[in-house]
Amino acid sequence: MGNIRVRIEIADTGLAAALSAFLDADPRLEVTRGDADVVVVGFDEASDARVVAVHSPGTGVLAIGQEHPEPMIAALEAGALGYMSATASFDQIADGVHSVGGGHGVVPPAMLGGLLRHVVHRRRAARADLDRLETLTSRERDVLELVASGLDRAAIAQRLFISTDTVRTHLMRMFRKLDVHSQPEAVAFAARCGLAAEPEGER
Amino acid sequence: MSDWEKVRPRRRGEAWVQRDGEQTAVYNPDTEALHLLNASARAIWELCDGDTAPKEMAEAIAELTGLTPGLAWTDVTTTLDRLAELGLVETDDGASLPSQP
Repeated sequence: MGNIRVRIEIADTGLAAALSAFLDADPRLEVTRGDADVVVVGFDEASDARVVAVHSPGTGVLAIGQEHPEPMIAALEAGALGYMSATASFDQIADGVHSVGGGHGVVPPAMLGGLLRHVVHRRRAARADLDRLETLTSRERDVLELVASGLDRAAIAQRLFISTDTVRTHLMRMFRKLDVHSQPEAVAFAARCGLAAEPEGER
Repeated sequence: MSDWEKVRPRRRGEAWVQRDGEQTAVYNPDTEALHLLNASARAIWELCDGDTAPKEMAEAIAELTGLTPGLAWTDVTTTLDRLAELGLVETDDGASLPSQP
C-alpha cells in the first residue's frame, strides 16, 4: 500500500506549517498541496462548507476543532470522516490521518458518548416521522408526494382527477396528522422520510 | 432473550468521574472501588440515562461503526453486564439488573 497523501487546510499558517513538517516526517505520509487521500481541515461553526467543498469520493476529511459535541456532529454531518480536538497532539493527529486514510472514522474517545446520544435522538426522530407517515391514507400520501414534487393544488387536482377543494381537504387532514402547518414544512417532512421531491419536469 | 431488552439502565448518580486521556475513572461510593472505563464502556455508561434502551444504544453503535446489529447488541449487553456487576448502573424502579444476584 502506498503512502497516504495529506493536504492541510488550516487557517493558522504557523500551525499548518508545523503540522505539515511533522506529518511529512512520517514515512507513510506524504504532505501535498494537490490531490490528497486525506484533507485535514480546521473546523469551526462557520466552516461546514469547507468540509463539504473538499469532501469528494476518494478523499477523507479529518476535521480539527473544539472538543465539543456540536461542532463535531456538524463536521461529521457535513461529510468529515473523522474529527479531532484542537488540543490533540501531533502524534494523535497523525494517528487520525492514518485512520481516515484507511477509510475508518475517528472521534475523540471522550466525545463518543455525545455522538452516540445524537445518533439515538436522530433515529428516534426518524422513527417518529415514519410512524406519522403511516397514519396517512394512500390518497393523502399521494398528495404529499405530489406536494413534495412541487405541484400546486390545481396541478395535483388534475393529476389525481379530483377537485381542488378535495385536494385542500386532503392537505388539511395531512397537515394535522403530520403536525405540520405549511406546505414547505410538509415538503421538509417528505424529504426526511425519503420521499423524493422529484421535479415534475423530470417525470 | 436477554433481560436488557426490558430495562432502561441508569448511571449511578453518586458516581465520581475523573477523565484521564482515553480512560475514565469512576468511583462507586457504595463499594469504595475505583473502576477504569475505556472509551466505549464510558460511552455506553453515559447513555445509561434511564431513558435510552440498550437496543437503541446497539442500533446507534451499529450505524456509527458498521458493526452488524447482532455484534453491536453483544457489545452493548456485555458492557452493561460488566457495568451492572460493578454497581455502576441501576434501573429506574430499582429492580435488580440482569447480572446482579
